Amino acid sequence: MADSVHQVEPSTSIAIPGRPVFFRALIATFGRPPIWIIAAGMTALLALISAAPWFTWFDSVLANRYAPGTLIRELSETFRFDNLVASGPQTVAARGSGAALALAAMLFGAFQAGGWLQIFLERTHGHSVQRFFHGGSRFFFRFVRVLLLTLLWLHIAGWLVYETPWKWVMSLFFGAVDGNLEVLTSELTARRVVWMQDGLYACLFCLISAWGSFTRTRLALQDTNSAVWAGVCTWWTLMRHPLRTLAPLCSLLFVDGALLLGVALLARLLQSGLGAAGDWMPVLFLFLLDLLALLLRSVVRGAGYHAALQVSVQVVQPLPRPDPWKHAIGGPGGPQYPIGGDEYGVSL
Amino acid sequence: MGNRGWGAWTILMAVLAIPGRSSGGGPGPYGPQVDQPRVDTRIAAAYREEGRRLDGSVTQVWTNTTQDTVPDLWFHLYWNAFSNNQSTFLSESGGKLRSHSVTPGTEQDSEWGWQRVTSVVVAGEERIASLRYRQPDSGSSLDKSVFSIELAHPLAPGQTVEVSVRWESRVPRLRRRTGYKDDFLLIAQWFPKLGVYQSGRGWNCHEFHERSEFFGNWGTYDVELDLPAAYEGHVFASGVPLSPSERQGERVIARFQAPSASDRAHADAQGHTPLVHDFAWTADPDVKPRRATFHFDEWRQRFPDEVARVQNALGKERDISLSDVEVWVLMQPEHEVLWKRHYEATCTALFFYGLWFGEYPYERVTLVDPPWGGGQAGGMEYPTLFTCGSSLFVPEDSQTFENVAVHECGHQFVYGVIANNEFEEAWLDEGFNSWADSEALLRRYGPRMANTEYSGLHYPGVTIFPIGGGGALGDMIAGRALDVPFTGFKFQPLRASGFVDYWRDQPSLAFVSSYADQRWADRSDYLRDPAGDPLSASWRYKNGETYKIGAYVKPAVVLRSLPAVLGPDGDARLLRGMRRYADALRFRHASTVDFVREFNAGAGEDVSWYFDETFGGTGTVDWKIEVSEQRVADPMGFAQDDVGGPFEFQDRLEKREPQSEPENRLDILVSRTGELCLPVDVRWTFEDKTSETVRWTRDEQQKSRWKRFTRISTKKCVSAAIDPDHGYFLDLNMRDNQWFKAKDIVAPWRWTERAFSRASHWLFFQGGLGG
Repeated sequence: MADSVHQVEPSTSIAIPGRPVFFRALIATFGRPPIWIIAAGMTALLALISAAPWFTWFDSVLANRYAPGTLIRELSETFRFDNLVASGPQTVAARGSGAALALAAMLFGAFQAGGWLQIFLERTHGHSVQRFFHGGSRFFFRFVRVLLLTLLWLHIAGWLVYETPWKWVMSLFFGAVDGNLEVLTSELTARRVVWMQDGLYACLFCLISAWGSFTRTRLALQDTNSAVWAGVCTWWTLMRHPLRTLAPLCSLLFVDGALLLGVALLARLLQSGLGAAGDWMPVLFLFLLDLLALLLRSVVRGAGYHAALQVSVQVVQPLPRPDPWKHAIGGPGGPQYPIGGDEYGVSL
Repeated sequence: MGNRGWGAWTILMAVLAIPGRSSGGGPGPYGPQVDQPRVDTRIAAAYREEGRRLDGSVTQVWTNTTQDTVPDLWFHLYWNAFSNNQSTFLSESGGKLRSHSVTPGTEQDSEWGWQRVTSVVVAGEERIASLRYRQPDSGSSLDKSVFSIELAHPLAPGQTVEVSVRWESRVPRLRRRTGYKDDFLLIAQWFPKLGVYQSGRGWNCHEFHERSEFFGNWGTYDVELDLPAAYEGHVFASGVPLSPSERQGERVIARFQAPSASDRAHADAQGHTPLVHDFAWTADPDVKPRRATFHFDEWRQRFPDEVARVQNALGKERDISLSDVEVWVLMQPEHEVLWKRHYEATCTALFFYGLWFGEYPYERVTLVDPPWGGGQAGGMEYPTLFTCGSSLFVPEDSQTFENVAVHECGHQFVYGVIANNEFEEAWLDEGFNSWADSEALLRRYGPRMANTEYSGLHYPGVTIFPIGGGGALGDMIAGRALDVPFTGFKFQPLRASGFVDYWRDQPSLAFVSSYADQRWADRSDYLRDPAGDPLSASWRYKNGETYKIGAYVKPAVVLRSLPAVLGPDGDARLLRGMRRYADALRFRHASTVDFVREFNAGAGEDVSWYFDETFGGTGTVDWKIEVSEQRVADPMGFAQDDVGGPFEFQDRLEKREPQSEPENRLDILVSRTGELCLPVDVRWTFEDKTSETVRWTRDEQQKSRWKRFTRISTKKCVSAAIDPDHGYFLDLNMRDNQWFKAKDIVAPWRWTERAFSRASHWLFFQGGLGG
């Protein structure tokens, strides 16, 4: 149940009408550079842990065995094959550490969500970093439970789209046994079926991601503990208000895509400039582009929570809260007079 | 298996005594040149959709050109390989046809196919009672892909016999080269076909094996096909149609001749009249035929360097021009837009192979694009007709169809014009073709682009860095999969799914472009198991991988390395050797012995030892170079001026002027592991860009596995390499073949950045699951 001590109220900025929700969310999020820098920096740190061993590996493999500049643009067929065995242990290590880093990234994602929501739910008065960490730790375990539910929903979505139900549909419509599409008479039809299948899964993936955002927002907004109940209520909310809830997040998805496209064009330009021995600059700029992409995506991800909160404060019913003065007249710091009692006391 | 001599290899193969003959063991598959028998064939067959029946009669006229008196006739009945799961073919494949399990169950299942002989008339006498199924290779009594007929009167050398066989068959579902898919028919190896008789060896008539192709007699084919009327105007075959198909009620009659009448009347530059050794046909009511003509002059102008290369190698007096060829491209309607890519690839083969092996001698070549679900017909060659395959949304840079089309059209030269026993010496067509197709593709298209497929759409580029997961624990931690103990339940939150995977990977940001030189890709394939098997009969390889290596890529890299073996002018000598072989064996059955003999004569050097060690053995080679350079110390120390005199310390032992620049001692140590001893160049380059090249000879390598080169110079060495021109495609590891004084300091950062980019987007995606 609600804990009045930790109860937070939405910041007044959340409810400002006018511009589209996603746009307001982007503006509000962009205005908090320390937070998205921390968010991006944490992902960058994890990525650096993953990538750093490759530097050592390349440095030792290249040694004095390859002409400077010949392996800048791309790795030749002979390089790839000749070093296949040598890269084996590094590949195994990278897979193992990558799995651990993936787990760390997911947990940090849960932490980060709490931080963003804490900031958007209260006035931070310039203490946003402090409140970010406070919110992250405060909601962490609740959001980890949401993560587990997210994985469960993804499993169900995958089962629906790639397992028995889909095969049954394929059998019904095309007579395809065990989902084998070779019974079709056209490759294009088969391609369209696969696009439909993968597209449906992608839509479900996005829907589940949106569900996760709204569930976390609901948990933070109502300050409740049950991820399962909040999740059930969120599905209901999503069904009641599909456009209102999903449109802002879809808009942010398009913004994310557009930003990535822009960065990708720059990256392509830089990649085409690679090749000269000893030319550091394109490599340096590519590193900076990677960081820029992470920063931009972190802003968009933070904006997702701001947008979810904007919508939630309008569509999520506030929980009935216990009235501390229900059985007394008076207030904190002053005398309290029990209603219906013959005696009275003073509460300090 | 280690490196062995040619003689030992031949003896071993003879001892293995590959069966398949009715008389005697004879020499192994690398024995003397086989006879050049001729069989002229007439076929009349009718296809009925009810029950997928194809019935007909075939008349084959065979002249005994051997020295033996032949008591019987052996025939192939290839489709019986699909008649039961105990056939030699399906036993070897584990019941699978190109990865597809044959449906278990009843006769109603459409996967099966069979052939039944109902009559055999030899010289006017019915001999069906003497029919006997043969299993020369496996001994499995349930294999019925070969049968024999006993002759009433043994056939003496020089005698001719006419044999007519009537047969019935059920067309199999297209799973392995032949059969039907809906209305599409690709009919190959489809009639009772006389085996090849070889002097002293008897009938060379193997069962249909999973990993082997075919062997047939040279001759002519005259074929009449009776099909449902829906196929009118949509029947194509080896050779050319005799006339437009003739409608007869609900049926249509199509007649073909291979080679065509004009081909038969036209002797080539070597005086040979074109023949063929097989006949295949296809019919498809939906097919969209497109036609264009290959003109040599157009291609000569596009690739003048290649024309000059060949002309210089073969001599200015040699006419290397090629005939025009009518190219028919039979496209599926939805692939029609791709027809020009197939045409271009076909012309690529006609041009380059024509320069290297001599002109394509027939007036027409036909390319077949199988329909969706009939891809198992793709990638196969028949005389003047071949199949490839198309797929939507595949970029040209990836050369996916081009690779297949060039290879299969290339078989029109090595298989079609220069025939070989594909059962026993598959390398003579597949290996030659793998060598030539990579060369042709590289010249026409450049290196092949690697791409990554998402939902059937191709993104140019790949990732070279693995992401997290792998193994039960890794997959569980990364949220990919978890096997719930004791339940059999697999929890799979993160599945492979095209569009989501694309969003996860962000390939436009995190991937790298990657191009592969096809020639070096052959080497990579060879090195997957370089010592697995020597070249062998197709079904005797250890597994599919060593078959692919032995039949395809090992011969390719061995042939491609020949210029390095031959030394100066090696490239021209390679071309001369190849052309000599191609000219000598045109419209004949070639063997390895033929190739080695003719190649040596053409190249002007006996390199039998090289083929012996590479084809006959499993030897490998791995060279290495190590370089050390240090300043030469000034000579100083205790010296003794006279014998018996005292040692006195001198700060300059030699009385010569000190050098203006310090001298360096350069030590270059080259070494070799593996059994192959191949002559190789060693080159080192100094800072003033002068260089020195020496040859580490075969003799030297046979005596010692290493050699040291020492030089004293005031110039500093900047690089050194063994096989500096990368002439050998056999080296197990080329990383240590070169040394550079300067170290690449940017490249490690460059690839670490790519790893970082890859990891950052992936981890960002994973983080999104958490919040």
